[in-house]
Amino acid sequence: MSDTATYILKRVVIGTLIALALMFIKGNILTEVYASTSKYTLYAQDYTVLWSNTVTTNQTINVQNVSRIRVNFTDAIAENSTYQITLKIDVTATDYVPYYNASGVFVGATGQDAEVATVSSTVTPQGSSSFLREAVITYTFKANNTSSDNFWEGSLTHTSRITYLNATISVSKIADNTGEQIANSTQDIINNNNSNTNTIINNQNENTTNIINNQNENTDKEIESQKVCNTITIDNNNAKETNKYLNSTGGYSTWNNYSVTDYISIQSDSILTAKEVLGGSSYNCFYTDDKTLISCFANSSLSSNQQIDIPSNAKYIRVSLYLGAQLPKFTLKNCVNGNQALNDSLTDDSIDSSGANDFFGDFNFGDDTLSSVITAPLRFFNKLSDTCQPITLTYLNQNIVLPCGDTIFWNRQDVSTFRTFWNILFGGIALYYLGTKLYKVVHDAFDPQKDNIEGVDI
Amino acid sequence: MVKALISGIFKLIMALVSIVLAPLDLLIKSLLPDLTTVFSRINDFFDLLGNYASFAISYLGFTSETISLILLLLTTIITLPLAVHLVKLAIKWYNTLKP
Repeated sequence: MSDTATYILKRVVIGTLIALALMFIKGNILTEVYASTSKYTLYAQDYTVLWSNTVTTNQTINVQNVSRIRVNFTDAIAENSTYQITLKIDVTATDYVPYYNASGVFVGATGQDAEVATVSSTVTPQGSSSFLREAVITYTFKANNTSSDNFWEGSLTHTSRITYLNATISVSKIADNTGEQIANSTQDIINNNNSNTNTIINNQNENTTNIINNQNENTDKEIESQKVCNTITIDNNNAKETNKYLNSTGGYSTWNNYSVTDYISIQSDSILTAKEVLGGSSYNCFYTDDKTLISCFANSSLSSNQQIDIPSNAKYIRVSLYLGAQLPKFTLKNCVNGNQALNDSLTDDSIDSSGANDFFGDFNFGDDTLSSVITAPLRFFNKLSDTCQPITLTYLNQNIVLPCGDTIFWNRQDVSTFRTFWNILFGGIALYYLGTKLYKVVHDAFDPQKDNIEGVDI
Repeated sequence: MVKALISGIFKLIMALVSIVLAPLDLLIKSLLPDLTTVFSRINDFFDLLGNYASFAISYLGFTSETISLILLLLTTIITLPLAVHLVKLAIKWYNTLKP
């Protein structure tokens, strides 16, 4: 086989495969045979039924007198979809091909106004040809009515000398609104999604903000709700004023073995409970912040485990105790919120300065080393700024106290002006020497001949 | 503040001197133990002076600001020349070693 023939054969095979593939795709995608329950009817000019059937495959139909074709759609058709009605006439038994003209109209539901759809018809072949063995009449229309009572009616005119032909008739949906619907749906989805996405984002943002706010709020509430409580016992260990107790007016009454406590801090929300009670005529009293008496309650009025109401403005309480029986005993539970407890717990003493102090304090070089002798003048200088302490001398078993100069003279008001002048004088001299020393150091720093170290003469 | 700063500088210098002389101190303690007694007496003397220094200063009528200024002068005299010398020494070494 020559190269040219091989080349042509390859192209033919490939083209055929492509055509078959396209046909397969087209047939499967676009062609959809309409419901088999559709009824096909061929009429004569006077509407005489020439043939009617739901099955159209290889039917022997006398089409010689057919002038009308009607297809009744027993199922609802899709709106805006395009249907194709095909009348395929096998002309193998004829001497020559008849000539057909076709037209059609889509008629609406029975009893309703007919709605004319887009109609087109194609007759293949147009004209006549003695070489063609088959004629296909195609009607297409675009339905805009979805009723199941629709029918399509087409007219058919032809010239033929034959009487019976094998014919098939079918209706197919060759295009539908699925693409448009899909496109519209997709757009709707996109639009909805955009809208939904924005909504979701907005909601998420809002929710996130709410969560953060809630968390912050909850954290604050949590901190506030974390109460720090301290329970103390008021008993004989709190005794201060002895041989007396408090009477109903908050004053003292004298009696042996009785005692009154000091002012014990209390709050309006504290819980004061009498654990063990004492009879008699002694009282316990509440006081304000400035220790003004508010009210008193008798020990004899209490019962064990009784919780005692505390006045709202109470800041202190004093309790009368009988030391002989070691009664009464109270528990006082003071609670503060977490923030308050934290604030109260932070004092200047909480600052850990041990690290800085240890840096200098850990150098312990003893008093019997050469380095201690060398640094002794520095230690002496360092002590110059210490606060003066009076010196106490003992002479003949008598202590003689030598007061500081400030006490004797310099703190007197009538010498304050002189002291100021005196300090300016010596401070100025020191400042002068300090300035000249700095100038000399800076000046000598640029003198290459002076690289010795100057210091104090010990 | 100035007082604390001056005090800190003094302690720093004392600590550095102690570190530098630590081997020598150990050598003296092991080889010349009697010499440490002399050192102790000298230190005791300065400590005694230091105990009465603030008492004596109080009679001079100096305020704390004036005392701090005087101490600042002493600190400068002690530390600044040493710092300048170290810088010059480093520059001298650099000039010697550079190619």
